[in-house]
Amino acid sequence: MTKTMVLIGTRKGLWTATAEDDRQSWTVRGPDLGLNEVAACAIDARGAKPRLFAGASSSHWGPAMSYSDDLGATWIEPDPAPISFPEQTDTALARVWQIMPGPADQPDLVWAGTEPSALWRSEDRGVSFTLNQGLWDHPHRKEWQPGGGGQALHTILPHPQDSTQMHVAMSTGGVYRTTDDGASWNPANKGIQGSFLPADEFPEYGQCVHKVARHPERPDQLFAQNHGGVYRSDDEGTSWASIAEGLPADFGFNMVVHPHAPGTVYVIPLVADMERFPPQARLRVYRSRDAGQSWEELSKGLPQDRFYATVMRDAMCVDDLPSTGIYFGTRSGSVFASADEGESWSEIAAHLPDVLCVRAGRVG
Amino acid sequence: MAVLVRIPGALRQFTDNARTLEVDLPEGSDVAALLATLGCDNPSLVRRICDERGNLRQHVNVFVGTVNVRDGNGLSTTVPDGAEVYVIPAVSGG
Repeated sequence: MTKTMVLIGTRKGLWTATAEDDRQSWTVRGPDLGLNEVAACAIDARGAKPRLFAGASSSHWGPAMSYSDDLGATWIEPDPAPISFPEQTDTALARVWQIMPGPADQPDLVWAGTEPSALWRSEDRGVSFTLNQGLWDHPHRKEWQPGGGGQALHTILPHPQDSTQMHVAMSTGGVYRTTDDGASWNPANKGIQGSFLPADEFPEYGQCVHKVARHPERPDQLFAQNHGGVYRSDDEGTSWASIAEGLPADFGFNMVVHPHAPGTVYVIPLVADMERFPPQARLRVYRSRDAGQSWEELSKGLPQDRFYATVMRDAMCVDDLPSTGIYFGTRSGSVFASADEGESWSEIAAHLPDVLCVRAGRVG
Repeated sequence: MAVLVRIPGALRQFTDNARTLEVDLPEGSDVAALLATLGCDNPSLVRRICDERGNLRQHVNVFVGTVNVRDGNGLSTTVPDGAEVYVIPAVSGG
C-alpha cells in the first residue's frame, strides 16, 4: 500500500501526517524543528530515498534550512548554511519562502525562494545554493516593496519542457520571466491589476501576486491569485485576463492546479484585503474545470458556521498519487484533506499552531 | 589567552549539550574575533548569534562580563584574558 505523507509547516514547528491506507486514516506526529516558524517545506521523491526539506526561522536565532532522509526522524542542517547571501550583497537571509525540487531528470537540482526576494539554485540536492545574480541585479529591485508578509520570492515555476525558461513571483513585485536560463528577467504582469496602488493600477510591475500555478502539460497557461484578482494567462504570462467571475470574492492566497487535469484549478476566496475572512464565514474551496470560465463550490466536510481563519499562500497543495489528493491548512491550526478531488473533506489534523505551508506526496 | 563562553540552553544542541566552551584567543582580541574562532569549529552555533553580514541578531545579546556589547563597542568590544562571555537571548515571544 502506498505511504502518503503531508508535511505541515506551522508558526511553531513542523508536523507530519502519514497514511498507509490510501489516505483514509492519518497518524500525526510532531513538532519537529522546535519553536521555529516553518514557512517552506517540500517532499523530494526523486531519489532512492525521499528527502524532506524545511525552511525554518527563529525570531531569536535566525533562519535555517534543513533536510531529512529518514522521513523526519532526524534533520540535518548542512554546514556551511545552504543559503547565505554573498558578502558583496550586504544582505542577510530573513526567511526561506519556497523550496522547489527540480525535474525528475535532474535529481540533484533544487530551487529556493527567499526573503528578501531572491532565487537560489542547488545542484547538490539542497545542500548548497547559489544566488541567481540576474534577478538579484534587476534594476526593478529597488522598487519592489514588502507585502504584509515580507518582501519575498514565494513562487518558482520552472518550465516543464525548456530548462532555460522559468517564471517567479514575489510580493510586492509581480511575476517575472526568464528565457535565458536566469541571466535576464522581464516582468510579466500585463493585465494584472494593482488595486492598492495609488496611481497606475496596471503598472509594468509592482503587483502583489500571491500565488501562480501551471499544469506541466500546458506550459503556456498560467493561473494567478492576486492581492485582489484571479487571472489566467494563455501566453506564458505575456498578458493576463480576469477569471474571477463566478467566485464569491477575488481576494485570496492560494492557486493550485490539478496534477492530472489541465485547466482544473482550486482557490479559497476571502472577502477582501481589508476583510480577510471566508465569505459568509463559511470555509469553501472553489474549483474550476474549464480554466476559470466557471467555478463550483466545494464545502462538504468543511466548517460552514462562523469560520474566520484564513489559508496562507503555500498552505494548499496536491499530492502525486494517481487519484489526486488535495490538502490545505488554516491559521486556526487545522489541516483538511480530500481524496476525491475536493468533493468531500476531512480534518486530518487539528489544534496545531497557525499552518503556514503544506506539502504532500508519496514516500513509500 | 583563555575565554569562557557560556551557552544558553537553546543553543546547547550545537555544543553537544556543553554549557560552556573555552576558547583560546590572541591577547587583545575582540568579540568578533571570538565569534570567528568559535565559528571555525561550530558554524551552526555562530550563525544563531550573527547573520552572514556578521551583525548580531536583533534578539540576541552578548555580554563580556557585565557589559552588554551593544552598550560598548559592539562586536569590537575587547575581551580581556580570563573573561566570561555570555550569550543571552532576549525574553520575548508568545
